[in-house]
Amino acid sequence: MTGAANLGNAGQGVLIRTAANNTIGGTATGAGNLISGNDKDGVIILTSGATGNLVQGNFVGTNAAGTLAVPNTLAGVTISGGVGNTVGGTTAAARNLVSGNADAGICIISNAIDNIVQGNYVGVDVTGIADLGNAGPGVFIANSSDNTIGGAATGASNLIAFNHKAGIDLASGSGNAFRANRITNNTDLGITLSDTITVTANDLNDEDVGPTGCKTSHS
Amino acid sequence: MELNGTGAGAGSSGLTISGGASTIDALVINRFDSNGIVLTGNGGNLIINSYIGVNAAGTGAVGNGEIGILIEARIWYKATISAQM
Repeated sequence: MTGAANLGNAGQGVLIRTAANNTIGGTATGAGNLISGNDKDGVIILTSGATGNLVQGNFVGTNAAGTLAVPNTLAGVTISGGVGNTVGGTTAAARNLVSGNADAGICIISNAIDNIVQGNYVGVDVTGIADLGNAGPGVFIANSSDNTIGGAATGASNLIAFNHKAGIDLASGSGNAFRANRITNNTDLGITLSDTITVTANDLNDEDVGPTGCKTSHS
Repeated sequence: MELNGTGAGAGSSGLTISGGASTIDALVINRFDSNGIVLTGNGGNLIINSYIGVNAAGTGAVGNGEIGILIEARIWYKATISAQM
């Protein structure tokens, strides 16, 4: 390539619509895909009929070496309305590298339910050390419930760093769990509600509103 | 293997496979006017070791006019015609 022209797919890299139990990548050696340079999302999973899909072992938004950004114009991975899909896993082989994208790393929106995001690198290079931040938040959740980011199991932690907004931005939804993630060096807060940039302190004796009852933020 | 859609014409896609449970392995899919690959049917497809939206070296963006890989369930409704009066 010479110059800076972006000639990736004019739409999404991979679009799964109302289809179940598809696997993008996997844990076997060489199974991962390189999904970069697309003019919309790298991967998008659409509608409540999209269930049981598995996204593992891919590089999304980087070059093949995982060292430089080849951005997707929107999010790296978006689940819009999908139910019970998995991005990553608890082994190193299952890890997706979701970095360098021009919007959020991982986006969960439009009544997406029971999806699991585990063990991924979001905003770092393949080594997990260098800055390869997504331009939006590392993980963005809106109007979606009962999704799990991280988890108690060994290897379930996501590394979410160097993103140009928050590490995790929960705009709306209920029952979403953020467990045991490593969140550091993001431009805004580690975990925030609607990308506010100030900490909402815990307080007593009143009713608060918002997806966590405004009981935040010790990130 | 690289599927290069240069000259394939307007509206072309690289591959269209129906039936589900298909495997796409080690393909570079680019330069089609429409989608790179379309998989329809019952799901259960496997996409591995492929470059989507990037060149074969994995260093720069080059792609298709629409979606790289489109996986879509299609529901076919049976028409029942009976007891025409």
